[in-house]
Amino acid sequence: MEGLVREMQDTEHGGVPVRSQKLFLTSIPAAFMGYDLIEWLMERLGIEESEALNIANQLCQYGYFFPISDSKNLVVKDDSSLYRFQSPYYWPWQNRPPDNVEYAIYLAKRTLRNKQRHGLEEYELETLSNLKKNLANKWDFIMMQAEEQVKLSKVLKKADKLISDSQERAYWRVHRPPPGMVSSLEPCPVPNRSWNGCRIRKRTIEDVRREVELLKKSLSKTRMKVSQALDSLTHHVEVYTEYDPLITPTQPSNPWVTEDLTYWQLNSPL
Amino acid sequence: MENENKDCPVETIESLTKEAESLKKKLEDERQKLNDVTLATAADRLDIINYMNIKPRRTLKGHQAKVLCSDWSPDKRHIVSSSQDGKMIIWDAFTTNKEHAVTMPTTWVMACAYAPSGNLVACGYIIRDITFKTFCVQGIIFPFRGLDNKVTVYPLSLEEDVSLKKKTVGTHTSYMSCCIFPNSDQQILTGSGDSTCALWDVESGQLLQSFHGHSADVMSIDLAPSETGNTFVSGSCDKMVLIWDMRSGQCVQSFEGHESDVNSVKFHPSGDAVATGSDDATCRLFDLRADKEVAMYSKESIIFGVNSVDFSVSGRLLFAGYNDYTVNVWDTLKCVRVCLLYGHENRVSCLQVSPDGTALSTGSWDYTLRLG
Repeated sequence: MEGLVREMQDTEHGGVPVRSQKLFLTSIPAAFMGYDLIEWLMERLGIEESEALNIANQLCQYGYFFPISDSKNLVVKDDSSLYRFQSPYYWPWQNRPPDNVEYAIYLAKRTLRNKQRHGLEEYELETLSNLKKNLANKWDFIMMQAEEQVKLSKVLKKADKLISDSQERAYWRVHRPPPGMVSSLEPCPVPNRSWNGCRIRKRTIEDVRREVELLKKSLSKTRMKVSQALDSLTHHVEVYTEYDPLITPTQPSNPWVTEDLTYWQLNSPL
Repeated sequence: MENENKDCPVETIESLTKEAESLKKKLEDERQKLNDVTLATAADRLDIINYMNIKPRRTLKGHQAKVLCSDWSPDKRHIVSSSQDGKMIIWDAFTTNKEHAVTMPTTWVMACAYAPSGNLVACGYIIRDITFKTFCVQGIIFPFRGLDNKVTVYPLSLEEDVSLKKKTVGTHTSYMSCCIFPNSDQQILTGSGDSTCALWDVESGQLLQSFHGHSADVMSIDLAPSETGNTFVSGSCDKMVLIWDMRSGQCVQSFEGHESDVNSVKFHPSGDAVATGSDDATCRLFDLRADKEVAMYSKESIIFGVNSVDFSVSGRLLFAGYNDYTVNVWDTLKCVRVCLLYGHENRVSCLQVSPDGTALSTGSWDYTLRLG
């Protein structure tokens, strides 16, 4: 997945064209257009438009790139709307999922800056006040960090600042989605099967001994030639294809298609 | 090492691991010797599939959270599904009506299954024990009145009956990820996050056999499709696929190849092969008699993991549900994709072809189940 995104970003060697885009007299730096991306995907992977669109949307959900003009919806459209690549620093598999302290710093930082451009959404204000309550003992530290980061960002050039601001914002859009939005990064609903966890338990001597035994047994096993095995597999499938309702139309009709229950009645046990 | 065997002090984990490595190499050589043809060439003479009868036809709405597991009833029209909202729902999929909804004591209902008679369903869920910070899972069996042709209306009180008659069968030391009834209503086979599988007696709740061999969470199990089926297959987060003998509790065959967690395993209807779906975005076919991987189903444009796989009744088609919200349909013999199905708005978590092969059900994190 990341390999594909890297290839995409490789503008010099046939990646997606990224440039400053002009929009109503303002220039938007480091952006690319929706249909350029879709076209690139279709060509690179040899796929139809619908599939390319699906892949683009998925990558967007994971936060590899984001729409510039829409900070709420992570949707890719096949038109001239503009998108920007996320900096690899913010890619989902680079770090552990962020904790609430980082989020609090980010939100606090935005409150310290220009209201008009960096004002918080309602849900963000709410989370901020909640975080303040929960992280009361760390709050001084959080505010200090936020002030420090604001100071640092003032040194940056305007265009760079714009880009890194938008990337940071998009990052939090992915990791702390507004209520009611789906997030692709949600871990599996199992406690110890989260995507960054170390799951494989340490092997004991019992495990290895069992494996050696199994391997020894497998070595002495008789096996069939692959051609022979495949022949019989193919044969089996051929025989049953006739009775496969998803390949051969059923007689009189498939009840799911025609709402006619005759097929089940005919086939019901007597 | 404390647990080292005193009888043979020369054996250490290192020496045994080394031995295992060399044995693996030898085994691979043996397998390659008989590898004379690829599946795609063997299936060259077959016609391509041009009739595909799949379209979204039903949507089952009612869960308030991610659908995690579902199973068809042997009567070919009912489905049981379990969801993160803590509910297990029994649907008449044909009319899309909910017939029962059972509330679990927790929201982590991981697995559910119909018994062969159609009169029992089982489900596994997680109970969090706060004091010990451990997770344990209970398999619970709910008997409920089967659908016989005469009964059409159910009394409202039945739901209470369902809950009252529940029965705890077994407990794993970690979550239970999958369960099936092997052959009869009397036994239940479960796979668990504690890296083992276990066979339980439904009536007494006793452990009949446990199956050790995986080194990480068991994600999926499937039974060999034969009347006397005493073999089953399991797939795990240790990337391995193992074939087991249910009577002896021994692992009889193992397949490696996947580069990431194996999320789903399914026996080919012929019983001679198993298909697997994995987080490495591929599905593979392993032949039991040739003792090796015979096909890999992947495309460069498919970059998301597979959660669930199932065959059509002939075994020609393999359906696979992916994390990118799609279902890909593969021609198992020609090793090409037949089509791509859209419809869900979040990951496809489970998928199953109905027992008579007339329909495909898919369940998703978008809270719905769909049929086509």
